[in-house]
Amino acid sequence: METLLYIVFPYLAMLTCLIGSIIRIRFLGYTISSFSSQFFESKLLYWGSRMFHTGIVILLLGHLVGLIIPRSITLFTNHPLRLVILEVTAFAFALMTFVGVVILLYRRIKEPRVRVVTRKTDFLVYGILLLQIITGIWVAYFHRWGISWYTTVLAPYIHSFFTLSPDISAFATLPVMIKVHALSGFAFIAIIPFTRLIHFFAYPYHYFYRQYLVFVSNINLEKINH
Amino acid sequence: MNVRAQIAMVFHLDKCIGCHTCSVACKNIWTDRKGAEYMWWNNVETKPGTGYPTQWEDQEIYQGGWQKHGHRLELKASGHWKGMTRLYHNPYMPNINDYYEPFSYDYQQLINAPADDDQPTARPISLVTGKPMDIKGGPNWDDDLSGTPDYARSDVNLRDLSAEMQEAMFQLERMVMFYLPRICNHCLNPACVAACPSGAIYKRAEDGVVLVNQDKCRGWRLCISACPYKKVYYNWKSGKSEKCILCYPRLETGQVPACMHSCVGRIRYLGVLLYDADKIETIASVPEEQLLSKHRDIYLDPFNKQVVQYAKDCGIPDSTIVAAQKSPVYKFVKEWQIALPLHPEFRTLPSLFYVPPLLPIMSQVRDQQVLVSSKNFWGNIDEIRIPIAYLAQLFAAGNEHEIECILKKQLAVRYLRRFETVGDVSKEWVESLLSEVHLNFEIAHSMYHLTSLAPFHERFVIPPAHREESIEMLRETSLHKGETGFNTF
Ligand code: HEM
Ligand code: SF4
Ligand code: SF4
Repeated sequence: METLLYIVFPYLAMLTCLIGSIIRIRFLGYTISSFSSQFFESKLLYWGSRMFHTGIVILLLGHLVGLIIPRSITLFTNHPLRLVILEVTAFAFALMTFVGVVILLYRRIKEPRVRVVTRKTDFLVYGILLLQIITGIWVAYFHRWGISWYTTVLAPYIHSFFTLSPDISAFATLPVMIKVHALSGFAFIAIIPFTRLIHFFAYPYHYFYRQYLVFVSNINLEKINH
Repeated sequence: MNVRAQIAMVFHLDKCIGCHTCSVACKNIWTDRKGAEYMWWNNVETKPGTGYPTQWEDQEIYQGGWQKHGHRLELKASGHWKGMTRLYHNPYMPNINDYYEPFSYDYQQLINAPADDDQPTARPISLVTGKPMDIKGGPNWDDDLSGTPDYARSDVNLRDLSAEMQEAMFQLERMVMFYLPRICNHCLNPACVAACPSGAIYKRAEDGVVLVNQDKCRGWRLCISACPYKKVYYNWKSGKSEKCILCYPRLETGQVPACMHSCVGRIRYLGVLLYDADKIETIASVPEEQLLSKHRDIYLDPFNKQVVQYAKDCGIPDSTIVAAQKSPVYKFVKEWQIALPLHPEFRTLPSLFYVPPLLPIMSQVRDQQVLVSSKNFWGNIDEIRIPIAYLAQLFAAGNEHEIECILKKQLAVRYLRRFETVGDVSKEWVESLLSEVHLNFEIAHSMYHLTSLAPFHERFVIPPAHREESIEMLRETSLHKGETGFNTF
């Protein structure tokens, strides 16, 4: 059972995400969009979307940094003051994300026109996001100093997937809420290619160094007269 | 010099009768779909009025177009950095209330209603929610409503007119209006293209048509606020932006765009202009007073041997050069200089030009007498009903001299025809009118011809698209043979 949940499921989730996203981006470009509903409602979206996105993007980046350079983070947070500052900031962003998501959900249910453009998969997204954020806040509050045990216990667990030698011994001893948070995190990863979440893989970073005007030629101008 | 071809257009506003046939022709072909009902790629506005979407010209609200930032040209509210901070929520994007909630009617009710004392009615049904709704607006809600406080008087172009001038425009006896049909301008310096972070919007190098690649659009919606003409629309169903495609599938097969083909007033002209693509940025950034003249300068003389040689070197097909020489747009814009872009101060260098309306006065009442003398049969342009200052706001970034010249030219041509058909004005007098605006009989005649008599093939000169070349680039022609060009996997 543990193997199934802690090893097979994460592997499946990551593979699904990888293969699914490649297929969707490569072949189903037309289906990828932010599916903005600002056209129908703008005021609540202003608060909801800005709070939610600012929060979630910073939290995700935080998780990623912890995964990529766990040792540096551990070293950096050796100093208790630094650890406290980081923890408090992360907690504030978590609360911000939570408030944002609640506003967005409220908006979706309350505004009849926004409801029209709500897909079934959106509720899956909201369900998993809520689960993820609530368990995250719970863990942050009841199992403090997560940054230090994340980098020392969770990061090695996830690293072990990539070295193809999954090691769940330390992970299996963690409190249940942390496990729920981690597993719903994998569920989140798994649904990315099938939902609107794919939109953040489409982040248009190449815009920063692109020239403003885009010309495309459909005919081989050189060939026509010669 | 980097010569490219642009399909450009002229709309002659004195001829528009405001019938909306153009809008309907377009709607029937392109935007009769879920999510696109509210889109009017072609719409016709009453001026003075607030337009569609409401007050689109007011860039204090929508922050569209380009602005000078020191010497550089920057998008007003998007661009490399500013735009990216506005992805999650775009504060300047118009929403459904700035357009209108699309509707149909419950026609079944007319047939299925049980017998009753009252006539059954067909209630309006929202095309978004499918529920009954109250209609609060439409795409031409202020049609013909000149003088109304909510519409005509909220026209942003009136801002710089004196209070007396505005009052004079709206007196019942002097009330004035004209129609302004609008489509995407397929600009040379398109703000929509520049603002699109996905690189989904592009300008076709061979004919200048601006298109949104539906596979690459990710719904970041920065184009919608960036286009100062509000001619990119967000499809709320597909989550993609859409805009006028200048009927490119028709153009490529030698057919005229539907709005132009169906135009009842025959106000529309389409043809090729050659321009120098290296100059786009420089010309879009000149000081405001020079915008109109420099914009004209970007277009090259297709009869000039050197230009033709450059064009060939840049790979422009001979057939396109010939089309450029026959272009009616070149005559209006360059030779006669009587067509101007709408709001040049947005700095997108539009490829759609308007001949400002003369709105002639047919007779005047003074001291209870109708005055009709041949010499001021149409009045003169100082007495024109629509203030020149107003037209200048629309078409010349406030430059009244430009408008005056154009109106004088049009008036001179009319008096020439008066001389020829009625004969109650002298030849010398007409000549003096013409020479005042640097015209002669010959030019005036061709202006008259193209304005009033020109048949279809003179009003629309479409260069061959050479699609066969692009097919050749993509695949073996022998494989393509016998198919319609659809992928068959
Ligand atoms: C990385 C950059 C990201 C960008 C540029 C971005 C952009 C957007 C945009 C434009 C919308 C549409 C908002 C509207 O209705 O107008 C949206 C919605 C949404 N995004 Fe993101 N997003 C990003 C990252 C994320 C991440 C990391 C998540 C989740 C983990 C996320 C989850 C959502 C959700 C759930 C919605 C729907 C909100 C609603 O309308 O109810 N986004 N995003
Ligand atoms: S009118 Fe607007 S949509 Fe059309 S090309 Fe210009 S900026 Fe783009
Ligand atoms: S069809 Fe022609 S005349 Fe009629 S409204 Fe459109 S542009 Fe004007």
